[in-house]
Amino acid sequence: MSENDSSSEELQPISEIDPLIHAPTRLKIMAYLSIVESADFTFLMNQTGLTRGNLSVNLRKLEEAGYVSITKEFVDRIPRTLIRLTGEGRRAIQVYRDNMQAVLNDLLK
Amino acid sequence: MSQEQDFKKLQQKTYRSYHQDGLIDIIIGLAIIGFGLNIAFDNAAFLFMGWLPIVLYVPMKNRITVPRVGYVKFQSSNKIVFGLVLAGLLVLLLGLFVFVISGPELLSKEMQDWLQQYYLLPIAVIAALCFIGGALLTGITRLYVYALVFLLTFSAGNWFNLHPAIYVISTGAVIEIAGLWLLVRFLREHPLPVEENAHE
Repeated sequence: MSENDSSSEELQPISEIDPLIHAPTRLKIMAYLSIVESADFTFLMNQTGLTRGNLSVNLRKLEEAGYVSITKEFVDRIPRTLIRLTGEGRRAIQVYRDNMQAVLNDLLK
Repeated sequence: MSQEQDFKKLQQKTYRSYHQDGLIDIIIGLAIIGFGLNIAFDNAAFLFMGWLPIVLYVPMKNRITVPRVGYVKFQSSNKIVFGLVLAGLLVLLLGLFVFVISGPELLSKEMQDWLQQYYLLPIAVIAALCFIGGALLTGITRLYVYALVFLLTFSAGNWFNLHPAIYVISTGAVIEIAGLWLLVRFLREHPLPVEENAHE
């Protein structure tokens, strides 16, 4: 096995990390959504500390990737934007966690 | 620290921030005060009045908390664990009650006398266990304090031979005041956003 092969094998866990989730803002959003069933826009904004615009942009990216679903409903005639992780999103965050753990384990070896 | 622990901490932080409004404390406090008034006046209407605010919990949460910090629905698996712990403790309480009512012959004379005199102490222990279970699951640390308040007031009440209504109502009042203080603090810290209707 060449040196290049061995180095690319060592870096494999890093290359498998999903760049869409790895961005800090989106990771925050995904982490919060992974521990709840659903949350509205205001709650996510308060918890993550993101601005309305920033949260909106990042949610759209996650929605386009199929990781989150966004639905609107009315409660007492007040609109509520409900956000939840899709099955694919839950799998993606689990894979991300496993990959990150593998990378950290490799670093600690 | 493992990732699981990190996620658990994040989950507990979320629980804490959603329940910092003191509404749950106010409702628990009223229920205990109702129980105390029921003992004092031997009138079950107080018990009913104490439990009545439970039906107002969701509307109050929607009116007070959601517009300020947003809405969250926690995972049903957590609710199941919480429900099971609570149900287990209630079954324990009910079992104790049935045992005392229907099977006193199974107990020694000393035990019967003790239970007759200190019948509220096992209830205090079970209530304290409920609070500790809730604190462990949700990370809401003030529930530990409530467990301690329950044990201290009930023990002191028995020790000083006070009327049970006095220490039951005092316990409820402590939790009620804590809840009201939390609610006032919450309303000050989280004023209604200007764009109340704009969620996105």
